[in-house]
Amino acid sequence: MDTQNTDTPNKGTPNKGESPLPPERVEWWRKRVTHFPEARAVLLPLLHDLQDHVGCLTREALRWAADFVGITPTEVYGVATFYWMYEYEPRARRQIAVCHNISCDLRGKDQVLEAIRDELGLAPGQRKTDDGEWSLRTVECMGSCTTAPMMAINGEYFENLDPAKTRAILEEIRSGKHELPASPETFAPHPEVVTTYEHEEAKA
Amino acid sequence: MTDTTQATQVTTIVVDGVEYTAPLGGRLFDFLHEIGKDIPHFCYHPGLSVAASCRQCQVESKGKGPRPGCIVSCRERIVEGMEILTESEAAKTARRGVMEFLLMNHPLDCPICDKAGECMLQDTAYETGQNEGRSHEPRRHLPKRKSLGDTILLDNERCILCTRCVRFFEEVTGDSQLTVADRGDRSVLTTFFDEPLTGDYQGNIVDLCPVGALTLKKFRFESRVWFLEETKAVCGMCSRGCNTIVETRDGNVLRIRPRHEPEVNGYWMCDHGRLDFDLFNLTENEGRLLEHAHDDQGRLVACTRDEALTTLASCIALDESPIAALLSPWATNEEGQAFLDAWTAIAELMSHEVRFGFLDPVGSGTEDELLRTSEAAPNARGLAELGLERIPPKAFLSGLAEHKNVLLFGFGLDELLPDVCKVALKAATNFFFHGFNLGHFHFVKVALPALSPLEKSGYWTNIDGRRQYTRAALRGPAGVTPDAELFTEIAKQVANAHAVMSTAGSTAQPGVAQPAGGEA
Amino acid sequence: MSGYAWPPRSDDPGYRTYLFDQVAIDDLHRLEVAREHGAYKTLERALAEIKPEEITATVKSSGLRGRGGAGFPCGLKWTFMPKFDEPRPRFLAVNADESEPGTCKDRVLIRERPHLLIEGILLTTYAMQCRAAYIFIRGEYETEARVLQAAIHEAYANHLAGKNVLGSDFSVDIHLTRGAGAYICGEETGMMEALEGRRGHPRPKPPFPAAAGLWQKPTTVNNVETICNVPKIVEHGAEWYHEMGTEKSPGNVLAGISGHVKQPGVFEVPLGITARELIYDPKFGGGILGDRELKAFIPGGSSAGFLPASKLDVAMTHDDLKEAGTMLGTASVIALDETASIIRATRVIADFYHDESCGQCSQCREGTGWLAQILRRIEHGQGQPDDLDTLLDLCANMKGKTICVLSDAAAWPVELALEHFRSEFEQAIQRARPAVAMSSGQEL
Repeated sequence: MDTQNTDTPNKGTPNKGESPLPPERVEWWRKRVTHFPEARAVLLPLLHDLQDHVGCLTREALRWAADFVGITPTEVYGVATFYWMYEYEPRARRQIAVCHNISCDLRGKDQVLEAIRDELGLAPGQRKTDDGEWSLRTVECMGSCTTAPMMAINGEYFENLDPAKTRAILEEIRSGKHELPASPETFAPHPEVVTTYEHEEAKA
Repeated sequence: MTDTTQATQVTTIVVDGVEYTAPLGGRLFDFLHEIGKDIPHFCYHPGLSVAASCRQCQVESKGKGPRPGCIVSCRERIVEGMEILTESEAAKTARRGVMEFLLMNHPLDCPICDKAGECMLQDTAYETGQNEGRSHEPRRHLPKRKSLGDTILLDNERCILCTRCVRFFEEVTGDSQLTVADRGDRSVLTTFFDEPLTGDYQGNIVDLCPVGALTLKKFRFESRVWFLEETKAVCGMCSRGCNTIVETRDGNVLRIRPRHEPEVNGYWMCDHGRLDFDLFNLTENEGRLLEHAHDDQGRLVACTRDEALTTLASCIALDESPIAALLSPWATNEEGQAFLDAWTAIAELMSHEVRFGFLDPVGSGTEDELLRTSEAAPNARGLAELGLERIPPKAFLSGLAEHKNVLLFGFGLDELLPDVCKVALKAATNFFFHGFNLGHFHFVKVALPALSPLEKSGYWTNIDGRRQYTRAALRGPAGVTPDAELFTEIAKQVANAHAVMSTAGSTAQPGVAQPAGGEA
Repeated sequence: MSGYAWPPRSDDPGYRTYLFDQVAIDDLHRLEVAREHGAYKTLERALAEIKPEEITATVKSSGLRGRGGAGFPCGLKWTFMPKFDEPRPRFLAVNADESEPGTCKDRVLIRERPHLLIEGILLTTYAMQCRAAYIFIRGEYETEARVLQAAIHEAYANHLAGKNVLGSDFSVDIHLTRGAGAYICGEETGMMEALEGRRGHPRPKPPFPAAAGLWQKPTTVNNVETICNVPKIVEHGAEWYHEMGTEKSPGNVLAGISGHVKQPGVFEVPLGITARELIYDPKFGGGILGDRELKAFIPGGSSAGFLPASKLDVAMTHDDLKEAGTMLGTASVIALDETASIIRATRVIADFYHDESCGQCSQCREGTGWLAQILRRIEHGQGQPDDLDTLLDLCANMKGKTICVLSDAAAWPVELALEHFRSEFEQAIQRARPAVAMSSGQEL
């Protein structure tokens, strides 16, 4: 009886089948990876892209990213979970982030949270509405200290809030009058860079 | 990685007011250890990269060299003019401070934790002397019995996030199976979505874990460690010869762990050697051959050792067909020498062919990139160097038909030759079995019990030619003759039988015990 | 050009500005508009006429100090890089991770004057002969990242970045990476870890980035605002720079004023201005909301902790604030008026460090959580008599013994709050609902 486990250890499984990203996007990343001495340097932006495309970081997306940059899925998971902006469960259609740090706290972030609760029925601490339309979380300093209090919805900043303004913004979004932005990454064609690096990874 | 800095220069440094000659550029922590100052630590391990994150190993620097104040000794390199205080108020306060932070959320599991008695957190807490915590806050709760597969159990509450296990899988096995997820005091050790660990070196993270966060399922609640008797042995599961400590209690092996040997296994061993010891415990191995037996009209019946040996000797001596004697590659060098001497003598006596050697274990094991070799037995090289013939299994099996009397000697042959039974049953061969598990060998003419590798001391020569001494951790069962002694006795008995036969002419019948009359 | 504020103001501050001077100009983020207003002229001259070492010497004599919070002399830091004949590639890492509570000034520079930043990056990489500049911008700054990325593309398209900048021998790449939300990625080695695609765990020092930085290559890490100072320093010289600010803290700084003031904003001001001026002068903060009394102020971002109103006349310089027991940090002033609870403010800030600790070092990982728990109890009327002593002792154990200074930064606000406002805490504890006295503190 031999306890030796001959299973392939937890290296990224080779990517057979489809990638979570469209082919032209994968091609863009293949080139992007050559701008860095190590392929894994694109990991944080790549995970943003995967999240935007897939909706959240699923197991498959994480595996694919791991194989793409040449590290194990476990390592990718450890990296991703360090940062608050990545999610692992399907996200609400509109995600609200309200800063609860010092300047915003001094300038009425509690009233903003109350307005959100009145308008959407979302209590601070409760993450998602039942219909999956809205989610709410409080976050640390977003860099709007002099325009406090604020909320970011799907990444777009709304600042200098008061309860009325908050309600009005939510209504505009809900009614479709205001469209929230897509991903901030432009994926413009790469410029002609001076130095590129070859990698064994990112050939999947 | 092990620190291989070849410090060719030395310098004078002062530690606790005493001058020492120390290697320039050497690691301060290691040097302090050498001069008998064992600084409390968790994340530092000489077999892994330095993390310098637990902050427990702080000592005070008086300013020449590193900046004055508390420094972590695991990272610090020895420089000229270094002045270190290991027990100053500042150093003790710093270390006590770290301990308090580590304990304030740590569960008070000692009474039920396997690690008690060999726990670095316990030991350091005892040393730093703060008996009562002053936290009024509720402790953090995390999963406590997380299975990481067949071998390892994880208790996240006990984990102090030293990352030794994470670094082990990154640096030693290269498969990064464990990571810290989240950050701050929400950090948790985890695999990828709770998938089980894979690979053959998982047990090492239990050795590495300074607390009872990672434990062996096999050892869970088996014993308090202070009841264990330690024996320095060598693993025999392959020809690497990893140095081990076999831990027993009341005659049973409860745990095997590696012993540091930089020339052979470093700090590690594989899970096969670590965990597959049940067959060595009598209480677990009911199939073990404990009695002598010989064939009586087609049935194998128990008998005395003398009766068994007499049957064996007369069969060999009286028969004129070729004999083959095969020694297990588990035999020690001493046993191999005794076997060689015995069968050389027997061969000289016999007029017909006597072939003897040891079973070649090459290819019987699964080689890997770390420690395991392709030989699933410890001493092929040692036996070969004695001059014994190396006999591959295929050759042995195909040659079975040509030998009337086939003798198998020593623990392990039954596992290395699983096909022998099938072939043997077809051939008209007399089998004589000296070994561990009789298993399917009920058709043998004589069965002799053998000691297990854990029941004997002796030298094995590993794959690199290194002679290593393994020490018996268990006492063999009563009535079992040590191998070397048995081989010598067999030679004697065969000589006797041969002498009797020669004088008595050819009236004696093969396979029938002869009265032990007259000549010895 | 007299712009000095964001949001832009039309009044003239009465002193020279060079960062926000153009900030009211529309579309300054576009290359052609920026060029119309002088962008890249200094770079052109430098590439043609000034040697890289001379640029470093000028920045060093200017006395420019880092604007990311630590205030280390910038030119001096540049000299730590290896000599040019050393074969390893050199990198510039640009810290656009701005996450210190109270701080929102790099954001304005990136969004409104990306070409100033890019010119600064080009001059800086030229001075140190870097192969590439890797900018790390916090993930939350999505608009700013979009603007900056577009500006970088414009630069490449116009031979301002890439091969043979403006036809010179100097070639350099500029790459922008977005983060994903962690304050500790503003720590220079934490940032390098994140740029490498890892958890943002600060590295033990030494080695310092100039010896082993990004991918273990010689790297200088500079803050956005610091780099934005470089073009004007190179254009006008070190003496020009010393005309502003103080001797040991020369130049202008972007000071944010937030909290209980009438006119929050970011203002370009000469170093040495007093906190009183920043908070009360109609040019800047314009006084306290409702004309209430000021109770306390934070002079330089949350890590700087609290000062009482009695210290309003402290000069905003590195040394003066250090002497006052705090720090200039990011020069982000936060005002707390008489209605504010110092206990609550301290707890809010403690929550922040608890959230942001990377978790490597035992003292920080557990201590940041412990501090926040104690403060929360006091805030909610469940303080214990030994809490304040425990807080201070924990703070002492958290300082000076960790891989990075987040642990210290978590301790300073608590220590300063207790130093200047201890009575508020004591009263809260005395008023506390009687809690079961736990002599050992052990939960069973």
